[in-house]
Amino acid sequence: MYRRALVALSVLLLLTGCAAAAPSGAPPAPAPPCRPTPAARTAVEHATNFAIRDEPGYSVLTVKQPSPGAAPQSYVLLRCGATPPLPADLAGAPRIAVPIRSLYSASTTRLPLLVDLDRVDVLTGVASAAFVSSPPVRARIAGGAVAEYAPNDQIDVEKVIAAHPDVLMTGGTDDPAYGPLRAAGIAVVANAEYLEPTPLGRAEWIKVMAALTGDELRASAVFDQVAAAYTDTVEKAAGAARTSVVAGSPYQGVWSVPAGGSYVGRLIGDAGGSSPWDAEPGTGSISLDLEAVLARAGTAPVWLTTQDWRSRADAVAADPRYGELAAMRSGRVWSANKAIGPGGGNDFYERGVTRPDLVLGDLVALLHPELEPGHAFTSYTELR
Amino acid sequence: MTRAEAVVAGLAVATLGALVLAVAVGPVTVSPVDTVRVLLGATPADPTASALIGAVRVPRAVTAALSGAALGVAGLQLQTLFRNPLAEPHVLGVSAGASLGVALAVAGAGGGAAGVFASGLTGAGRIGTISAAALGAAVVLGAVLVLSRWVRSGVVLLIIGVMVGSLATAAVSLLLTLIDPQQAQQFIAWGLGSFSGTTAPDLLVLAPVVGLGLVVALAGVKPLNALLLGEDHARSVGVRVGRTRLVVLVSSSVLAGAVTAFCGPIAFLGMAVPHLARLAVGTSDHRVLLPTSLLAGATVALVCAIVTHLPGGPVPINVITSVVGAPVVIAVLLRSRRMAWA
Repeated sequence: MYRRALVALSVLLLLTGCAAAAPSGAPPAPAPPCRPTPAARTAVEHATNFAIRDEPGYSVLTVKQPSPGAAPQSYVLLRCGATPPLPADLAGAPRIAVPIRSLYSASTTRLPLLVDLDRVDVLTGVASAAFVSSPPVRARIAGGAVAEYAPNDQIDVEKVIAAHPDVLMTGGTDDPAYGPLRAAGIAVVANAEYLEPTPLGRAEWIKVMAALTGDELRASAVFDQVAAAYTDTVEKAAGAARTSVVAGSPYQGVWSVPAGGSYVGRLIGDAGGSSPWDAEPGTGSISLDLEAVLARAGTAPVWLTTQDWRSRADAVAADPRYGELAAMRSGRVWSANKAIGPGGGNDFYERGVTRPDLVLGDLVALLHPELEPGHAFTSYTELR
Repeated sequence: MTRAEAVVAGLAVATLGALVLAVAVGPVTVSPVDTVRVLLGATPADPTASALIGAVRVPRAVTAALSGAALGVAGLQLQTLFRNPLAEPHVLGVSAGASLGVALAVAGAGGGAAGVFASGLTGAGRIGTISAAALGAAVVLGAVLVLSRWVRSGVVLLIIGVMVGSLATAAVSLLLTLIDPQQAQQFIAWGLGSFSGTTAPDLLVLAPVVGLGLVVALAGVKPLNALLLGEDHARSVGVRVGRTRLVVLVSSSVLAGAVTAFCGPIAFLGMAVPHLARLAVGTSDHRVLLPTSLLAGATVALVCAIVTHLPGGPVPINVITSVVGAPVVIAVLLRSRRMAWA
């Protein structure tokens, strides 16, 4: 009797123990061949919010602003299970054995980095699967290899700890749950590429992902190609007469237009467009009344709206006053909603970051159709 | 044993039970044996158990218990002081002030005019957020306290608290229109409220502060009883009303401010828990009511923290506390004519 109870108890323990240990998601990818020295990485040229430096046996990734206003954070990337002596200033830095085999991603914007590196295999968790647009990632999610760890925008801390990914990559904001995750030994790596003011600076964050996955050479190749294509397109548009653009959309009567120094402002400028607010400093947007926009940009022939409209009738239905814009009469109203994923996520926010050359190509084609005849649009679509 | 003693004893057992449940239950299954091992400092069979229990569940349960106790007690103090059943810690502008602090920190991070005020606060991510919230709450409460020197009537002070809070909320709204959506996201994440964000070092600050506030509150129950019949009555029985008011305002503000700084604005507990406590003990004697609010607050907060882990993934704590709190407040409004306030 006593013995039977003991057996039953151990079976129970075994079962609960198994439940606790069962990983959510697929088994980790097989470890890639280990390189004791880092692959030759190319220097960081455009990005300003991160730096990578190589030391004997380890590398140091430093994110200068992990989330808006936060202090710089360094991560020690240890190669091949090495345990080199670290200087005192790195004693408290998170240590990550690279190449990593599993990654949780807080934002869909990070996923194209893996697609471009052909390393979707390391992805084992996403915050919310619904907004993913990238087909290879969707296929991996459909195959059950990717856990969803924050379906309601609330991180399931216990689920993440139980799965113990090698790295959880943030969306560049701080979350109350990151404290307990760090305390539990999860490497929470900040990806704050949106704090970069330039399109190529954002795209260069592929080198951060590559430093983690060990794909430095491929990252350099991909980035150099994007940078070259981007520069070519800028040069193509440089000679054309500037097309005046009104950008953004009003919400509750307040119109946010991008400042000249902002990411969107720079893209428009590089594409040969101009806006009355180009001279405004700052990397964010400027809030304006509808009348101020109508007065200064009402005659602009092109409107780049951020609304998810399909036709100009949608715009007039939202607010009849939009009909006053010259762009509404000429028909040159564009929205970056060409590629909406099955779950409603916009591919523009995924690939827009890694492929600024494609976004710029779209913008040049819509601002200067004569420069890009027969252009196949990736992100932007003209409202009917 | 009187009814009050039975209720307090029952609530003490319920708090302990909820505490155990909050540590034992979670979205991931941890075996009870491993749980006990981690709590006793031994090595569990499953290595993730130490992290799950030590870094997540124990801090979360302790935070919930402390927050519920603090908000319940602060709410009771203020409902008595203002003789208003809808008073709660946040009417004095605690959460509005804390929100303003966090909004300034987030906005300041992105540059702009607000940055001048917040540049010193944002250095260290979460610590910056906590400091900004605490400072914002302290500044707004300080303003209310200074104004309270010239105000004799509790009702007027209550209105002043609401007005100062509105000013802070207006400033928050203005800031949110000026910053980028991604920065606003950071503010929104804090504003949803959470018991899950605290770590052991956080608790080393939160626990003593809340403990101190609770001790001060427990020491001041007698004057609170005298205040039940109005400030004039209290004066006539020798209570120094001005001093009592200051002690109540400071201790309730410290309690609510500490919780708000670490957890974000937690809705409804401060208002609903004192009413639950009154219903349970059937007396307005603060010597009973205050410990009852303390324990009931801890229990309700723990139960809310457990319930947030619904099968579909975690739900923001304020959703749960509001679902618990709103019906209570409605019931109180319906019953208000029968309440002993007027």
